Formats: sequence, structure tokens, C-alpha cells
Amino acid sequence: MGHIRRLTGYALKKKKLFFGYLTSAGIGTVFNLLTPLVLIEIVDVAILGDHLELLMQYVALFVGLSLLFAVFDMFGRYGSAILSQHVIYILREEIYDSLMEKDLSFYDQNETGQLLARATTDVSTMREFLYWGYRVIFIGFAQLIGTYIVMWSVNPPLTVYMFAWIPVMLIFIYAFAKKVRPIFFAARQQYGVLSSVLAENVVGHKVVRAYASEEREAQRVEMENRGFLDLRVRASKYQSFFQPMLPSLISVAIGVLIYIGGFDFIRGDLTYGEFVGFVSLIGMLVLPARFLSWGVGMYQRASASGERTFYILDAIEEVMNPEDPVTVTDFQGAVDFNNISFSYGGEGYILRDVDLHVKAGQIVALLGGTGSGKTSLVNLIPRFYDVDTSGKVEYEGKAYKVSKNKTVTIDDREYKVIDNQVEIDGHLVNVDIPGQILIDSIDIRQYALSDLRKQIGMVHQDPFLFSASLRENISFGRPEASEEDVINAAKAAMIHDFIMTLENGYDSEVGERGVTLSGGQKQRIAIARALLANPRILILDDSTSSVDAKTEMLIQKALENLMKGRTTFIITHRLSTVRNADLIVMMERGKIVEMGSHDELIAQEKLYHNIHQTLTEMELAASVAIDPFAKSGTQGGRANE
Amino acid sequence: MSRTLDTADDPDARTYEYSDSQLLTRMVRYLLAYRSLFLAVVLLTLIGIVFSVWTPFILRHAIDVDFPSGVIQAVAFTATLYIVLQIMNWVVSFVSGYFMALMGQRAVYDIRQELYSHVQEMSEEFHDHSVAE
Repeated sequence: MGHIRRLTGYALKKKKLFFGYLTSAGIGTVFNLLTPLVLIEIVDVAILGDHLELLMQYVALFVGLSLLFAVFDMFGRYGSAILSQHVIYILREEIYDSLMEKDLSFYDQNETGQLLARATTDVSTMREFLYWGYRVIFIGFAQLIGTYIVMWSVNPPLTVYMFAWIPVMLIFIYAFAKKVRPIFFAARQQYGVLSSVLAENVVGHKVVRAYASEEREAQRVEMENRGFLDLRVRASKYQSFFQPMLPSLISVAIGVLIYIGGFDFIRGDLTYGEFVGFVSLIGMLVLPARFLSWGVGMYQRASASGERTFYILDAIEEVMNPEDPVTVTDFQGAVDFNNISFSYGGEGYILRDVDLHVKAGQIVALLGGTGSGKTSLVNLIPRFYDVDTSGKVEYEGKAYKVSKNKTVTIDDREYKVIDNQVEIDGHLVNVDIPGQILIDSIDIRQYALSDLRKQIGMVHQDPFLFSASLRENISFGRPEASEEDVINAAKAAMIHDFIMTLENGYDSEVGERGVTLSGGQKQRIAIARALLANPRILILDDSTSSVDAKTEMLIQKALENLMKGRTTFIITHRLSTVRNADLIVMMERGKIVEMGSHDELIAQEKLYHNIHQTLTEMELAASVAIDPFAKSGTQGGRANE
Repeated sequence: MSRTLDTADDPDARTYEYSDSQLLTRMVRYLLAYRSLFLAVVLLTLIGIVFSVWTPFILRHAIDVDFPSGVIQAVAFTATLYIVLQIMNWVVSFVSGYFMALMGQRAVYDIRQELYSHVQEMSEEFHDHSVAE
């Protein structure tokens, strides 16, 4: 209910158009309703009353009314089509803007596929309602009421008989909504299941083949396909039953009219013309019954779509632009994590008391296993998430969050915070003040999001490339970059030579219909992209290195070029990179456990020392296993990249 | 993802390797697998047409013959005939609509099965150059 009202609110943004087309549809309906009256006159006056000279006039009137109906109906359709497109345009734009503004936690909570469906399918459903729904419901009611008024003006007793058909039509609309639609809905659901099973099998066919599970998967597909068939057939059965029922019911009404009308005629209470006019008027009742039944269905679907769409628009952004952002003139790139904590959606700490100070231009290598929090840490810098803003209480080795109403819940008991202290079992415990992240000594929440993110470049292990030319992909962050700049960036990223081997060079399209790039090539394109954007701060995710030695070398060189003169956070297990870092940060379960330069940490002979030894042995073993001829420089050619 | 299977009308996706008539004959072949259903549908459709054409003639009979005759039994008979005809027409269109759907949906099921097993047997080369989804 509320969702449709909200959708109507959008339609009402174009009030003139909205009411204009409804008025037009209404006028059209009036003309349509007048035609049976002319028919009565033709029969009674012109034909039976021996006034054949009037026939031409009546016929002209009949045709004229029908034409007027057609014209106004056309304007109604045209107006609603324009309006629906306008509304959908606005809605799509709002959805897109809203999706772009959402922080990462929104994407973590919602499947991308679902979001895409909302932006496409649900919007189409709403357009259908905007185009057909209002008009169909409006015309349905107008024609229903109008038909009875016209009937009454012709012959009140027969109209009373016709009232008996209203409940019949209501039952039809109700039965259709109750019986038929749920099955169609179930069939659509099953279609979704079938589609995803098919898609999984086609997209993931390599896995299916590799595990020799074609047989099992084929059975699964067959089962879902059969399920869809059964539901569709059942739906069609009901549809075939109900669809012709309405015109048949109306025809039965005409049959009864023959009897009652015949009776009245014989008694002299009814003329031929009135009888013929009534037959035509009864025929006009098909339309409202059908339109209203259709309108109810569209209403339900549009309401569901509206709910899902408005959910996106209404989701509150957790990361917000500051109201009064600081203006940035000279970004240096010094980053300070001042004792920050981060908990995901308020539950459990992912990062705790991280205190890390990086000078401009320094390279920081982050080491740690999965779940150690290193990725979360770097995601905080461009504000994909925000650090916790509420205080924290540490009690018996565990950390507890201070909620918004200034209380702390420990073991289901609530404690009040007074003067930044909590009294727990007679002990006074201090509340830790929430930390902050500073770039060049300014809290990152004070920069405009766009200013902040422009200064930060990210290169992922498996970067996302757009279905566009290589040039467009490289210049994504700076579309106005000159050809020379693009080439220089590509050269520094060690990918220029490869691009030149392609038939279309920088104009080659990326994607399924264009060139297929290997992981290492994609990574270097992404490095070129970051180089061209020229950010002060770099975040590199290079955690697994499963490439051959030559690619490894190229990436290494590209990364070195990229990191030159930039503050860099790199997640890596590549020993050479780690060794050259100014600061090595070892993380474990959201905390920094060791920090320092390579030499310092080796000298400490603790965790880093052990890991370093393991990694050295692994790299040695890998270089022998993967590429025994690495030194000759002739192996691992382009084809293997 | 479910929509992409539905809206296969992307003009770029069509190669025009086959003519429309070739495609049509090929599709009809799938329907012909259900010959008896097909025949039943044809037959029922014919009956439906006969009923539909007959209807206005009954109305004419009522207006031209029964009304002026003044015999109420004759009017009642014609009215009953009209109603029975309409109900039969409904039954006929229900059955033929159901059979038609049965035939069509089964054919679609067959095509989907065939397509799936075929795609699974295709080489990796084919998959690399086709848009999945």
C-alpha cells in the first residue's frame, strides 16, 4: 500500500501529465459508452421507425463517437507511456546514485546479483504498473459505473437484473487472484531456480568437468527443468480454465437476457433497439472485469517491486560526507592510525587498538593470516568503512562496546557510563576514547569523500576491468589523460610491450568479446591505471603469488615503479617486497603483534623471524619446482603469462 | 541472471545464419513430437470456431423469429440453446488451451534439455568465446 503511494508520489511530480492522461482516458470511456445509445436509435428510429433518411447521420455519429474514443484513448496511452518513462528514468538514477554512495558494508550484506535484479527487473515491473496500472484501474471503474448508468437510462428493470452479475464478476476477479496468480508466481520462482542452476553449470562448467560430475549435474538440471514444466503446465491449466470463463459468463448473461428481454418484448415493455443496445452494453462489461483483475495483479507485483527498490533508496549510509569538508591543497600522504578499533556492524571486534604511524612516502608491508584484519585495516583508509566512534571498555581481557545510550552490556547485565567510567562489581573501569585515522594530521572524516579517495590508489590481486578498450581502462581515474601519459603509465607498469603485440593496440576491447587477459596482465593494467591516477597513498593487495617467474619479475618491477615516492600499504608475502619495506607490520586477530624494519624484526628473533625463514624456504622450493630454467631467461614466454 | 534467458531478443546476438522459415520448421518439429495432442488441439479449435460462428445466428433467430411470434416457450428454448452453446464453448476453449500449453511447455522442456546437454559437450574453445550468464 505505502509503496504504491510512494510510487504515485513520483508520478505526481508530473501532475499535469498524470491527470491529463487520466482525464483523456475518462473522456474516451464516455464516448465509448455512448455508442450503444446510438445503436438503439438506429434500430428503433431509423430502421423500424421507417426513418431511413436518418440512418446516415446515426451511422456517422456512431463512427464519430468510436473515432473520438480511439483518439482520447490514444492520448491516454501516450501520456501514460511518457509519464512512466519519466518516472522510471528518475528512479533508475536515484537507485544508481544511491548504490554508488553506499559503503562496502551494504554490499557485504546484499548480494550483487539481487541488487542488479532490483535495478532492472523491479524497475520494469514498476514501469508496467505506471504505464498500464493506473489507467487500467481507472478505466475499469469508469466503464463499470458508466455502463450501469447508461443501462439505467435505457431500461431500469433490466439494469436491476444486470446487477446480479456484479458479484459473479467479483468472484471471478477474486478467484483469479487467489488461484491462478500464486501458481504463476511459483512458476516464476522456479524459473529463477532453473536459471541459476543452468547459469552455474554453464559458468562453472570447468568445475563440473574437472570433477567428472556431469551426470549428477545433468540430473539436477533435469529435475529443476521438470519442476518448471510441471508448474507451468499447472498454471496454464488454470489459466485456460479462467481465461475463457469471463467472456463465457458474459455470454450466459446474454442468454438469460434473451429470455427476460423476450418476455418484456412480448409484454411490450422493451423495444428491439433497447434489446440490441443491452446486448452491446453487456459486452462492455467484459472490459472492466478484465481490466480490474489485471490491475489488481499489477498492483500486487508493483508493490512488491516497490518495496525492494525503496529498500535500497532508504538504506542509511554509514559512511557520510562531512558537512563542512576541509579543502586540500597539498596532500603529502602521512597516515596515522591513532589507537583505532573497528567492529563490523557493531558485533565483535575486527581491529582492536591499532596504533600505526606512517610517514609520507614510506612503504608498509602488512603480514598476517586470513582474518588477521590486514584487509580491513587498509579498507579503512579510503573510508570504505569507518572506525568505531563509540568508546570501549576492557574488562577481564575482553573488550565491550559502549552503546549509543551510554551503557555497556557485559554478560547480559547493563552498566551505566558515568564520567567516562563504569563501575563493574565495585571496580571503576575507564572507558577508552574511540580512535581516529589521520592523513596529514587531519581526521579523514573531515575530507570530502571524493577528495580523499582521489588521493588513494588501489590495486587488487585480481583487479576488475571494464568491458571497454585498454586505453579507457587505464585512464579510468583520469579520463582526460593524454595519449602520451597513458603510454608512459603502461610502460612503467611493464604492460606497454604486451599491448603493442595486440592487433588493435590500446584500442583492444577487454572482456568476453575482446581480448582475454591473464591474471598477471590484468594486474599490470591495474597498476598502470593507478600510476596514471597518480595518488599519494597506495594500497596494494598482492597476497598470493601464483604466477610464473617472468610475470613475477614484471609485476615486481611495475610495483616498484608504482610505489616510488608514494605512501604504500602492501599486503604481500613476496619476500623481496617485505624486505624493502620501511615498516613491516605483523597482524594477528585484529591486533598488531610485531612492528619494525626487516633488520629490527630479524634481530628480535620472534614471529617475523620464523615466518621469514619459512617463506625463504618456500620461495626457494617454488622457484625450483615452477621454473627450473628461470636463470636462462628464455622460458616463461608471453603465451604463459 | 534470470532475465537474460528470458529476453533473448538481442539483435546483436543473432547471426542470421538460418532463415526465419528454417527456424520455424525446426521449431514445429519439436511440436510434432506430440502428434496426438497437436491433432486434438486442431480439432477442438475447429469446433470452437463452429460454436463462435453459430452464436450470432441464434441471436438472430431470437430477434427475428421468437420475439415477434410472442411464444414465450420458443424464446426460452432459444435462450437455453444459447446458454448451453456458450458453456460448451468455454469447455472447448479450456481443453484446447490446456492441451496447447501442455504441448508447448513440453517442447520448451525438450529444447532446454537438448541445449543443456549440448552445451555441456562443447569444447572449452566454445565457452571461452561465448558470453556466459
